[in-house]
Amino acid sequence: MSVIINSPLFGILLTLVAFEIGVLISQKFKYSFLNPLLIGNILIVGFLLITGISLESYNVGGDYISVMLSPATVVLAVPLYRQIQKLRQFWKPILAGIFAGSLTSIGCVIFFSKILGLSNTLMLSILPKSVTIPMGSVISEQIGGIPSVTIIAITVTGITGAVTAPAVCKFFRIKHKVAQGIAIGTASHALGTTRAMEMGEVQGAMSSLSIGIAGLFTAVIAPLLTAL
Amino acid sequence: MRIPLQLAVIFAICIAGEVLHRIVGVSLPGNIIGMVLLLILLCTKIIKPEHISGVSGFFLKHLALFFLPPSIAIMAVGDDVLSKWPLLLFLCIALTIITIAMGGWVTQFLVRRQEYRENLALRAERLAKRAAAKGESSGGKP
Repeated sequence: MSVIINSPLFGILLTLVAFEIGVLISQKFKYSFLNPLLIGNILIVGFLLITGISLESYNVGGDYISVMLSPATVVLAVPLYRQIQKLRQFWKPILAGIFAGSLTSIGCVIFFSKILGLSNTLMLSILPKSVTIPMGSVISEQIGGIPSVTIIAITVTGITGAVTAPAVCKFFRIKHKVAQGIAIGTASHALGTTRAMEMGEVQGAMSSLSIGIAGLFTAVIAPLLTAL
Repeated sequence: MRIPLQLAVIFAICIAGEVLHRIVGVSLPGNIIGMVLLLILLCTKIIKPEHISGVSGFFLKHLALFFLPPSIAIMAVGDDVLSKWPLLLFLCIALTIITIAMGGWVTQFLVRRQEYRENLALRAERLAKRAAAKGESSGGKP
């Protein structure tokens, strides 16, 4: 048994199988809350809990896939490049929109944490929840949060964005393709972007553009607002 | 380009981003610097999108897969976090929706205002041209 668990291929195989089952289920039932990432997460956590295999053993292989987050972020430049005309045309509204979204996210976390009596550490941990994982975990560490809690908050936020984005845009009458993409990317980083890409190339590109800029704004705003 | 070479290019850009972050001290994370680097290479036509389409297509198509392993860290959180999970879950979901609405509204308002102004300017220009043309043609008659 330990031979299997100690192989990096175990974690990789488990991840691939769980993800593909997630994709199959989400394609078959078409409910948007049945997100492949959410299903995959539940399957893997369930499997590890039932078999008693530790998170460390899983990560021997899981880390190989996590490493690929970096190249996966880098190639987001491709859809961005295809839409560079739109960025040049609307750069002022785009920057203003991303700034407004980031400020809203951070401000609301602080406001509601104080009202609901959340501990300071937890508040700081979920503060960068709208930022992409590699940026958010660094910001969390800098301001005094717990990075692993931040990663989960970011994932939940991303799934929420991926699941609800079309309905939220419809409900709040956000119809312009550029505005839809910016809103989704600013609120729910690369995970929301996966859904934005399904909505259209413009939305996908605007969403992937927002990821880095929202992260940058958050990295600057968060320490300032928490100092108040 | 063949797939191994495409991968090599993308990984090299990742490492360049990491180097700029760690050694030069650019405050953005390495992968975001890498994204900017690739964008610059594309804009300057040093790399064409079709050169790396095999690898970029693969990563973009299966983007969510790469978030799955980090999300499993949810198993390792302490009791102090676990006891607050309904509240944290509610906050994350509610605030995501508020953020989408706010970011979307502000962007849409400003984009539409800009489009409206550009349209007005375009129309004014056309009217001016037409008036000028009219003026010329009537002015030419004795």
